Amino acid sequence: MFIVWEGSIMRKTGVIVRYELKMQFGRPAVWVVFGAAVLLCQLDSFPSAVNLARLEFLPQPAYFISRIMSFDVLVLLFGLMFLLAGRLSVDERTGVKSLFMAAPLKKSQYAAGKLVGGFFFTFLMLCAFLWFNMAVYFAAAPFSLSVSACVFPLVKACLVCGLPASLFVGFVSVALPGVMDVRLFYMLGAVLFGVNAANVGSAEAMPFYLITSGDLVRLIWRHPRWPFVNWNSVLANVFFLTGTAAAAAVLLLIKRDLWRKGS
Amino acid sequence: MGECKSGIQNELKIAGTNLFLVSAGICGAVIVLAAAGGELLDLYPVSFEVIFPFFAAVSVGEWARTRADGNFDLIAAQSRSLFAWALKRSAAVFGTVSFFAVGCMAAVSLIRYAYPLRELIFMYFPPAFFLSSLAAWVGLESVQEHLAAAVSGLVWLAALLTRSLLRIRGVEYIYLFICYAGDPNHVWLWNKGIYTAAGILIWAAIFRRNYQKKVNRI
Repeated sequence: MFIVWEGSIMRKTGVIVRYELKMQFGRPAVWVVFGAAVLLCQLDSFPSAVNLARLEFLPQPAYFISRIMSFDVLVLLFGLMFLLAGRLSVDERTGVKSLFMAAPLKKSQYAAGKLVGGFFFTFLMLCAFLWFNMAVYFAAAPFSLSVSACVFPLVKACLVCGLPASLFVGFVSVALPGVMDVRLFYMLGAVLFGVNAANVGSAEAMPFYLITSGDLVRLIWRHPRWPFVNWNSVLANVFFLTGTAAAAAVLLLIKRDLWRKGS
Repeated sequence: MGECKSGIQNELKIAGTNLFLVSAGICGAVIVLAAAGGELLDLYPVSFEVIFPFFAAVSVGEWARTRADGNFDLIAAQSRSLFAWALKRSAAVFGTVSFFAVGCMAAVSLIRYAYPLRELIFMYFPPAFFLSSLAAWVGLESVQEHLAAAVSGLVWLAALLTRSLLRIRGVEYIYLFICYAGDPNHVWLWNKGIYTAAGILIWAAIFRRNYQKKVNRI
């Protein structure tokens, strides 16, 4: 695991990314959060007679995926935010950071490994969540569905909404607790997620600071009465998610006491 | 009584100054919002029923760590009962956050008066007590770091997301943020009573499981 002193820069970063993924996927808490989000999703959007009567567009796979992207993925990402927040401090406490620092590893390689590891982990969890729930929907739907009608919006959701949202949560959750008190980070995160949860969809352009229910979601499914896409709002949403992630990474990289002096 | 007081003082020393700094920072932010936020903002329920209870739960989950504390084995071996230690630690942190919350309520009421102070305390205390009791319980059951804050945070966010369930008869009695949701059937006192009782039940479960128990590290 810690043979990082030979090989290219990419390989050194790759070792830390692999370490991050292995540590995170082995945590029972991650699967508790995943299970809670799946439960909430199935309660809300399982294609039962009651839910089909309540939600007019539920028979459309694209609506189903955009609905769970807006609401239930938010719960999943909120839980993952907590579990990613300790990735830098846990290395210090367990002595793993000393092992990494004993190797000819640069600060940027260590930070990049942590950030990319956080991003990959978030993205893989998000994809697993979407694919699992779509599989349940496909199997349980009391009407006929073609596989392509399910797979196309699913792939679109993973790439168009999942990538920027995972980048935001992965980078921000790993980097910001390294530069501020973790409790303050939780409060800032809670305010942002709380605003997301309390936001009600409308025909107007959605606020740019929404993580999973911004105008990016309109690229997956649009209400038949409001079929337009506000591209300025979509771009603002993308820039907010990716720009905040980049700013968090820069803040971590310029932190002086993250690594030994002179690297 | 003296032993209890010094125990709480020790726990506050362990928690450190960040507990006071972050609490003061959040109070400052709410006071600034009250002064500059305008009348459109439904400040009281948002601040004292939604934000502050979550902060209390995160504080108990993170500043009052029990089983996830690095020195847990040592503390548990020297304590007569895990319950007394966990109660003292949680009470110290919850009391500090609540002290700041009540101070903030008083300051905000001076800026723009909308509710009597005792009503604001009733609005804040039951959800805060319930969520932080949940965090304390998870903290005593699991060695996983941040899990206590994550579990109470997920309950908090799920409650925010499921506001539409209030259309079902009876849900208003168990909806966590009833004042924030507008209290459609005027049952907020019942609702707050139910959450206070739920918090007490959680502490009763902690007592039952941890009284006179020593080292039990998973």
